[in-house]
Amino acid sequence: MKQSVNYNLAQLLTCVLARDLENTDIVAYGLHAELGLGAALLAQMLHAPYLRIRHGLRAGSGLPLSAPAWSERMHQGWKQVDYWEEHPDMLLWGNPASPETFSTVFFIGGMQIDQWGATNLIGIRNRVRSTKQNAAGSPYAVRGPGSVGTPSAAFFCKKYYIFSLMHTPKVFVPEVDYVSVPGTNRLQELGYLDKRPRLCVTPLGVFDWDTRDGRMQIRSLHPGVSLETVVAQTGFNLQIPARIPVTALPTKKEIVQLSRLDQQGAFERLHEKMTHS
Amino acid sequence: MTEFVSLKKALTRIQPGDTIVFGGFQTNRAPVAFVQALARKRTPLRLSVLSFPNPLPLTLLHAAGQVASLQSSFNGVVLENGFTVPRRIRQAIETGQIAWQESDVYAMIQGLRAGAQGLPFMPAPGLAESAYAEKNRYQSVKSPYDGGSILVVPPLRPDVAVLHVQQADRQGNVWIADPLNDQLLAQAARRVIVSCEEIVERISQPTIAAVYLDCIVHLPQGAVPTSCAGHYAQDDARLHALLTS
Repeated sequence: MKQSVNYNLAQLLTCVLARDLENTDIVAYGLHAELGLGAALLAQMLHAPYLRIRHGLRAGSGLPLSAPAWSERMHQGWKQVDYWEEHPDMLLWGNPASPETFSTVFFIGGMQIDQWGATNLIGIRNRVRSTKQNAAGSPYAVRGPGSVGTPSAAFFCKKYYIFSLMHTPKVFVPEVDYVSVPGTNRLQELGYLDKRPRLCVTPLGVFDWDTRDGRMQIRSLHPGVSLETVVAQTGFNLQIPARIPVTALPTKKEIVQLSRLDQQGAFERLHEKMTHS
Repeated sequence: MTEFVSLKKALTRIQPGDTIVFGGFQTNRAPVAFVQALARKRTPLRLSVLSFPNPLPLTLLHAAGQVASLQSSFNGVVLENGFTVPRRIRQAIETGQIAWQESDVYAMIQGLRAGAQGLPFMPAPGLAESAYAEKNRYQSVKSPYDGGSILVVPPLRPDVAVLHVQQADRQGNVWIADPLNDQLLAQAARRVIVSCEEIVERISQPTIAAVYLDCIVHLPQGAVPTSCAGHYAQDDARLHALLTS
């Protein structure tokens, strides 16, 4: 396979996700559509033509990489949408017990992500006992945006992926302050032995939870990233395999398709965000 | 019978202490003109706002001191220059100024379904180990059919839903180009107020029939600066200014 040298970090992560998608997947995505929708469109173009894309409120395939249909910037832009999917219908999710599987794949971010693969979009706990800010007794130092439907999506979808635009000890913590999506420790207690995030992609590498004790391990590190860096930037002890592969670079074919579907520089903007945060 | 009323008269349908919910999703079709008029009311309204997730109406009412409590799953939007969290709402929660409950949006939708159907609860499997189960004291019941344990959520029954739509006809039926939560909100709420871009003689296939609606106000541009499909796009600069002021 020919490897491309002209790629950016956002494209690399999109390729990692795309390669893990298959024909039987039904993909939905939320924020940072570049990664989720980008990966789904790339997989459709290259190896999974029958993969289906269903997004919050819009359904279709072969659409250009663009913002969700509700954030309408173009006059009459809504006409590009194949059909509107109502929010309540969308939330039939991928419940395996329902004949209406909304999606089997979802992408989840977090203000915090822990060694068990739990995510937190709820908030950061106030560690200072008494400050002006928390005079009213609020437990939050920082209030997060909220979990949207990520807890139910992670539960119902066959495959869920975690992503983070930052890889720092503040994000990758031993244990999240509040649980949006539960990690392997809680899930195992509940009897869900096989339930875990499929992969986690960050600016430093690719990680998974396919370990005996359910803790996060390194799957590959991106070109130029040292083990020392990733260890220093992670707030817990990572499981380190005997041999650490380098994340496979995007191929020329992948880069050609990625530039076809993103003509407005979405990957470049995401790359900037990742390298400057 | 759905009444066509003035904005002033429609505003009188909101009572102090009401639980209120707004149509539209994220940055689309929020009933902004109605909400701005409501925010100008001098009577203290102490509203409980349900947000699905729809931050602008909440932000405007909170800035006017009219929000006592909030229930939502998410408070943020993606605008042209990135992800934006309404600053004052975040501060109000961090400093304990407003009572606040958060849940998974699926649990909230199941709650609305229970409300619309008059049921005492609705199963919402999948949340047992998230922080929401404990925080919101969601209970589990034993299924009488397969014996399994299933988490159930209480009904959500808003006193009033306010929707902004593209068209209403003389019979009081409405047509929505991009219906998102609107039908379920109209079914679950006790009263439904609609503002519309235009009034036409007859809609052949209404999105929501007149029987669900209480009153309609003709308010062209009534969702600005959020978008209204087929009429206008969202105004990112104004949205950003309103959400972060």
